[in-house]
Amino acid sequence: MKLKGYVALTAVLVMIPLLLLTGMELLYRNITLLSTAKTNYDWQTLRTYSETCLEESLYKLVLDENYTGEFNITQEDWTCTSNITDITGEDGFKLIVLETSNPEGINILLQKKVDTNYDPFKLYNIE
Amino acid sequence: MKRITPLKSFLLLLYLTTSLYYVMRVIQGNPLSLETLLLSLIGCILIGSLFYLAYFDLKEMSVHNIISLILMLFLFLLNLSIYFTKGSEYSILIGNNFVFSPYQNFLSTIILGSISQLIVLVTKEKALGLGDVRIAIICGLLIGYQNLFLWTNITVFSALFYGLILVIKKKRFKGIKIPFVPFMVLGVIIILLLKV
Repeated sequence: MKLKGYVALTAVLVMIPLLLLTGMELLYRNITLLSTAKTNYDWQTLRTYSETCLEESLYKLVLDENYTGEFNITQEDWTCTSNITDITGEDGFKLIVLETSNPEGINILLQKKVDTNYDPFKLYNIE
Repeated sequence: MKRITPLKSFLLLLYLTTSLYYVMRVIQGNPLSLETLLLSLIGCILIGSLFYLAYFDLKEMSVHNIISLILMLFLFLLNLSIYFTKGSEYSILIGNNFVFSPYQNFLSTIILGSISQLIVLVTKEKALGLGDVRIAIICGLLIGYQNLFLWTNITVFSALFYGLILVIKKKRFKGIKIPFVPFMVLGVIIILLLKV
């Protein structure tokens, strides 16, 4: 018994657009995936830098418990602005507002509440 | 049309591919242990059979029934035995990044087999031969789901290229038929060369 082993040229021509469409769809999907992965990576990196900025702010408070003010940290691929203020009505409490950004346009806003009445300080998250 | 002697051609191809594979292994500096010897033998039989099927299709426009059936059953049983003994997650890394995963192989086989069988049934073997379905299943059992898209592209575009050459040569478009097996085998060989 012999099995036919050919394909008609017209069938191949029908397959081509389908393959091209699938290929383009895959390409777009992969580009989106790649872009999402890169944004996520950048965000995670920036988050780490933001924590660095927070450490720097806490260090300023360790040196001077009454410190208030704003300072910037500027690096090659990220910048951070830290604003330390007193919380009115709560003695010894400070509010740290951190704004970290990178050239890709990703911004992270981090707010922390610090209780300087304790040694070491107590750090609270603010929603 | 000149008849080819299947056994002679098959043995010659097997001998050539085995020799080539051994030379490549020795050049790469691999010791020829019993495991290597067995793996080489299986690999060579597979590649040799595929080459022979491609050659047979090119000459006869049909698929060799016995060899294709043996090859399909062998690959099916190989995948099945690995799947049931080692589990669905198990895969073997061959060479640099060719992953032989029975689960992925079955997945690609189902996709390729069903699509090609559907074409055969819908067009009543006018667009695609029944033998090509068998070869598609063999290729699916070898390449796996992760290489399916690349394999389809290589196969279809190389077949189109050959088809266009035939169109220019015969100066007609209607009724042109292309032996599909050589291009399917070409796809497998290119993927193996790229990944292994």
